[in-house]
Amino acid sequence: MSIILTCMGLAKTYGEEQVVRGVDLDVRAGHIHSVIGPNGAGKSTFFNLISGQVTKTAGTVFFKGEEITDYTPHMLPHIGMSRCFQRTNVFPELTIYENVWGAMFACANDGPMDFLRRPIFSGELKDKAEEVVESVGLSHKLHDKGKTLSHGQSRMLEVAVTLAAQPELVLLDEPTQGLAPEATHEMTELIKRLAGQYTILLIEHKMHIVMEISDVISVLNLGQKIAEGKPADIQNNQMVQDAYLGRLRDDND
Amino acid sequence: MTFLIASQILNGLATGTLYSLMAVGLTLILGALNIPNFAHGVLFAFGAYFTYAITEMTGSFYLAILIAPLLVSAMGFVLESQGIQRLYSAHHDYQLLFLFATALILQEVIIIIWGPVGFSVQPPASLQGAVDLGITVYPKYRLAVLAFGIVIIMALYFFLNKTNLGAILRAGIENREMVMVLGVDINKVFLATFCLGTYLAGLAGGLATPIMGLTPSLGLDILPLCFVVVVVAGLGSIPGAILAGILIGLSQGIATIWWPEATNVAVYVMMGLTIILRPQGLFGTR
Amino acid sequence: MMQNKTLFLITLAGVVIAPMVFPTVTATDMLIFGLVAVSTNIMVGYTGMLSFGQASFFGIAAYASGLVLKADISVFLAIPAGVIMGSLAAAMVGYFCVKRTGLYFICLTFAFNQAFFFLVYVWTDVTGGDDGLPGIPRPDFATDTLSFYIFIAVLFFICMAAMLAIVKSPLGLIFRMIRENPERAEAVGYNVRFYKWVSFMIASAFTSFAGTLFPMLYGIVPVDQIHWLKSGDFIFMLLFGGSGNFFGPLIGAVAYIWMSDTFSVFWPRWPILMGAIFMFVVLFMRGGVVEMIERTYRYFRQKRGDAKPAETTT
Repeated sequence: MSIILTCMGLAKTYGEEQVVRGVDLDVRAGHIHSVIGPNGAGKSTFFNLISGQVTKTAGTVFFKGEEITDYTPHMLPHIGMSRCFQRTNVFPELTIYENVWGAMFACANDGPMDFLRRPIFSGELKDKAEEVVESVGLSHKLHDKGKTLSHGQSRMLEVAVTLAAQPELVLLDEPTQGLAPEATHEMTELIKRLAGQYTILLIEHKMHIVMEISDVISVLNLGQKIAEGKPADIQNNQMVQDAYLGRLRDDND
Repeated sequence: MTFLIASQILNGLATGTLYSLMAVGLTLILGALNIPNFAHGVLFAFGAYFTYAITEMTGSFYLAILIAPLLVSAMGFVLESQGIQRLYSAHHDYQLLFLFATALILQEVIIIIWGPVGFSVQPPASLQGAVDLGITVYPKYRLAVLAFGIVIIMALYFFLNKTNLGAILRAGIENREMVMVLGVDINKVFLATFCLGTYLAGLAGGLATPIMGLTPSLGLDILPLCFVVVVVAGLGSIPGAILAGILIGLSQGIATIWWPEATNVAVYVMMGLTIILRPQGLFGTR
Repeated sequence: MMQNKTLFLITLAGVVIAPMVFPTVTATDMLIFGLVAVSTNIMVGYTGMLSFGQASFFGIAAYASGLVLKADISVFLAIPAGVIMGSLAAAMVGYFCVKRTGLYFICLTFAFNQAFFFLVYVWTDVTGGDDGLPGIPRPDFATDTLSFYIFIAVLFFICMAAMLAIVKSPLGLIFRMIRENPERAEAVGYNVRFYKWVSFMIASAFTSFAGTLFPMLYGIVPVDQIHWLKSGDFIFMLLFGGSGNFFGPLIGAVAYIWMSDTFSVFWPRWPILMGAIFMFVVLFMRGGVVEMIERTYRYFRQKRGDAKPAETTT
């Protein structure tokens, strides 16, 4: 399989503090690639560096062979990379349909005449938008406002909005955070279903999920990548256990 | 010519000091509460009118300059505790609009109390007349304002940087979470900041009376200037506000030498240049 | 809530009735400022950008159109000339302002407004400075007040239809996405700064359009039409009417013009009343009149809803 995303020497320094210190990462097309690490390991900042939310101190990023190091966030969905956020970050006063349709239109927009003329409630995009809403199981709330959703539902909508761009690579930042066990299970199933269609780069805290669904796991600690491999390898890696797994078990108790 | 230039530069410095006081007050409020105080101009005018009224009543300008800013600060106290605090949960825009509405009302109140016609006010007897500085002869009162303004700014600097209360106010601007961690009621910090900011507006107004005279539009005229000072300084920088205030005052003074009608245009040229060359303001970081 | 079609028809009825209820000149004033309030709301209400400088563009357009009309050139040149001048100014101001968000945006729009004011104030040869720009004629086909009203009403509806179409288009949805969550709008692929600029431009262009009509109404452009206080009045109109609804600001414009016409005659201190209403709206009625109507409507519907099951049980 080919490599879809390459990060080389990504680094971020805030004043004196080095949050991410030169991380290299290759993501293969079709994989679920998880990034794990203890709190403060720099995972989220690493994500923000890739998606351009945070300016890079050093390093380069390639996506499908194209250098995207200096791309601003709004350019990425147009070339096939889309991300979701850790905080529930939907558009509260818009309906679920508008949330998804609006996100979808971003990449289908053909300029001034199009953004004035394209009908919102008919045509090809309508079907696609409804399909995406259906795929995350929110069809029954299609014309309700975003703010009426429960926490679990808004996380689903968050994923739907991310998928609306019809990307090749999806960056998911802790999609199960704050979810009840039931909803966590639903989300996990959803990610498994998505795996067939998309390449997924995932930050996740819940170890059993990561071990269950990942093809490759990279471990960050103190801003550096300390290990990478298949779930089984990572589980048996002494360094990872020392740095992280032991601590995480303590965290969860 | 040197005579004219020197006195205009001094003029610029004196009004610049007043702008600095205003802008520091505005910056404090802006930093802590995250709203531009649209009532700042009208509170400046109240400072001026109170000073005038108290001088008339007691015969002492010095007493007036002591009391008037405190009265303005008390108005600030009422505004913050009765109005803005009710709007903490709403969007910032509404706090701003509340202050704007306040400004509209107070503006008319000035006219109701003191009439629509402006008048000039004499400086206190001890500060009347002029001093010969060698290069130019300059009014005593303006020199006094310049000196007093510098003292106030230094005192303020000392207060914010060397006292506990000052440190808490500063933290309210720079690092809200820290204030919460310290266990200080952030609402009280906001209230104190607002009172301090409005105090400075009132003080600047009081000092300005013998220079600018009293007209009901005093507040309306000075408010945009304060905003320009803050834009030039960059949001949230107190030293920036001080320097930018003096810079704007100076550019007005210097413009007066060659093209008196365009003093205000000079101000906006300064602003335009800042925005083009340094969009975040001279001292701004965001 | 009611459909836009219904509301459009209500507006139409209102425009027909207005000259019978109010003096015709007042009614014309209402239409002009109705346009201003609705267009400003595209930026303030729909995109979430509070600007305190919209009087700049209203004023610039008014002066440009006034000058063309004074030169006795066709009104159909005066209007485009004003719109172009206003929009050019907006393009420039908007370019600098949308780089900044929140506070800085408000401060900048405000400061720019005053910059234009002083420009007009100082440039007496062209603008008349403090005295304003007098002696502006109305177009030949609309010299009496009623035919002028009809002329303005036609233009009013063209603009309203255009603005409603914009708000209902995907562009309007993009604006609302930016208002709700600019960071997320950026992440789904919208260049937020560009669309904010577009919103600024659209709002300012329609405000300019209204500005070009103003000089013909009273035959003069007073200098206070470009003062920052005027920008505050625009905000008052849209907030009082209700910024959450496309038609809401119209109510605000009508109320504002009615108040200023009625009270200013016998009470020069009437802005105190406006300030008080403004304060009341901000404190207790943030959705404006529209929200109040909606609440009442819901209250009565609920009452009726409660009554029905009661009937069935008896």
